[in-house]
Amino acid sequence: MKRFSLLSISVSNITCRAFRSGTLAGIVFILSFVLVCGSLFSACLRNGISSIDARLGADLLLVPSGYEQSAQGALLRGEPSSFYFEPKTVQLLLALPDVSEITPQLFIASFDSPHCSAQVQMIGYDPETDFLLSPWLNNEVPGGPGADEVIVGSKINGDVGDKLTFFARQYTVAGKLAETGMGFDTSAFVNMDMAQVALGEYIQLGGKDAPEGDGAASCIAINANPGTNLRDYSKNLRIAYSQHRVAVIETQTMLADLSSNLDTLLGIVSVLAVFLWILASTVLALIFAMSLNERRREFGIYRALGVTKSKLAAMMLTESALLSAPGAFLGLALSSVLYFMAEPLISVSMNLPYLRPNVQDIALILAGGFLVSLVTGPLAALFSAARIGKVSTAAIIKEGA
Amino acid sequence: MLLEVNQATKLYKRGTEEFKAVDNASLSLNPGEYAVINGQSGSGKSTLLAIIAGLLNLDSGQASFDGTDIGTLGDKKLSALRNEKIGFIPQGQCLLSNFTIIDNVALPGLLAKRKNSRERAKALLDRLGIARLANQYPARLSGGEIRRAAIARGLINEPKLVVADEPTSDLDPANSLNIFELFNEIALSGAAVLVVTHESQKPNGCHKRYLMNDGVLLLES
Repeated sequence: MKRFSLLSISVSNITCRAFRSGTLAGIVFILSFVLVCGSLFSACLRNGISSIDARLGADLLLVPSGYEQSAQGALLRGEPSSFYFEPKTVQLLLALPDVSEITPQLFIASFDSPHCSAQVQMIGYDPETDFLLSPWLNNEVPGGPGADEVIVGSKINGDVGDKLTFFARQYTVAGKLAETGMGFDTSAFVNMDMAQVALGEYIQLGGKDAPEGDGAASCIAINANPGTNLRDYSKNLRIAYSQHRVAVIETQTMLADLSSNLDTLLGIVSVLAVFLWILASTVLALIFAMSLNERRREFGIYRALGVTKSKLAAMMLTESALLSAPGAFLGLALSSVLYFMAEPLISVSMNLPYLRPNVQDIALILAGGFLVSLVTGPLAALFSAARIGKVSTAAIIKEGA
Repeated sequence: MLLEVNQATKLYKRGTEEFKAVDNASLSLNPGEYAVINGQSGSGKSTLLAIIAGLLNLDSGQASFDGTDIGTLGDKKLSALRNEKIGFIPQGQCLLSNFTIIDNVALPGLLAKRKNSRERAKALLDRLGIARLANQYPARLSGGEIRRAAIARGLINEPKLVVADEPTSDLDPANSLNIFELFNEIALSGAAVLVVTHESQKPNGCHKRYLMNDGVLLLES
């Protein structure tokens, strides 16, 4: 030891008690690992919901009765689905009164066959009336995709200029979207004319439950006139069009249900994280208290040599911080690597909208998890550090105390 | 007067019962004076030393060091006093087990930010005949060697007062004699020495002997 410093003495105390030090660092490691994973998981799910909220800008979605779940599955999770209104029903619905915006969409589930490059949800939309997809699809391809063009979601293999085959027809990738956390990530977007062509080819290749002739649609998105009571409006729609098998999805209700499910899940995650933090803090506090008891003679010697009470307390806090730091860092590093490696599996298995936040937000989450883990050790040691002066003085008076 | 304790009383509680660990004790020591305190276990000797070293507060009375009432000093000043002017040698195995002997001895000097602390530590170990053990850890030393290292550490900052609590409790007679001779040499070099001991014989060179019983301190006439 070349010079006396809190750090040099603390390092010496840590290295000479390898097992105890390893145990303390291990507890902080577990805490850091769970906190970071839990925080990333929560943030991704919350971001997924925010993404849907921002992109699902319709008051109501009309879908064929019995296909409400399929429509939600297609929108939220990209589950390939094919369901249709007859062309005459579409004409009827597009003429609904008291709407400010109304637009049809056509869903076609591509095949897992040589006729299709991938099994995806093909979504046809009408750029002229669309108010849902155009605001962000136009960022990629102004005016929307043209003939034999497709805009693909972030998780579809294929870059701009590549050729993709759907129902034996080749499409040129005109744009690729940023990740949304929704079913749009595994969807391919074409204009409504191309979608009608694709639907015809889908039928020719053996696609089931599809109506003949142009003008079919899977979903009609509606924005009602401002001031309209949506609950009453959708109730009236259900009654008026019951013979046409029209189901009404209120998007805010759908989002509220999603949020509720998410809140329940994240509540469980939060409770587990808090429980683990309390458990880890308690175990660390007990270990520090036991350590203080075991080392009171040593601290008494420091007091006898002229070390102040505050310096002894600082020594204990420094030791706890030095023990927490590697545990917190390892937990952070390992949890980040493992989490992002397992992320594709997590996002698929969750059955909830899932979207990774931006780099700054992820950095904040990682820094937060690291800091909470780092300060847990010193916080747990605080009580023992406060008692150090009293305990050490008693120990120096009694031999072997 | 270097050290002056006047009518010092320290109360302890045992359960709900209060008792006087140190009862109206008075003691004085001049530079170069060598004194011992004899007494049975539990008679209050160690408590009195802790009061003199500024580790415990008095309930009544006064303890002064070099004209300063140590009861008026805060922890920082008391710690500095203990580090620089009082060589306190606690009882038992009082070396830090995770430091080598030379680091143990040099530690108070390093704490006081004194230059050449390691060189002084080497010289002291040499003077006490244990220079060969400088790089060993305390666990490898005998009881006598540990006491010598502790005494060397007590002397590292050239204190005005050396206070030793039972320095020969775990030593054989020959080693005990050597230790007391060492304290005599320290006193002859000008520092005041106060030793708490069970040894009934008055050590060579000792100027004063106090007897302590149930917290009461008496100067042997």
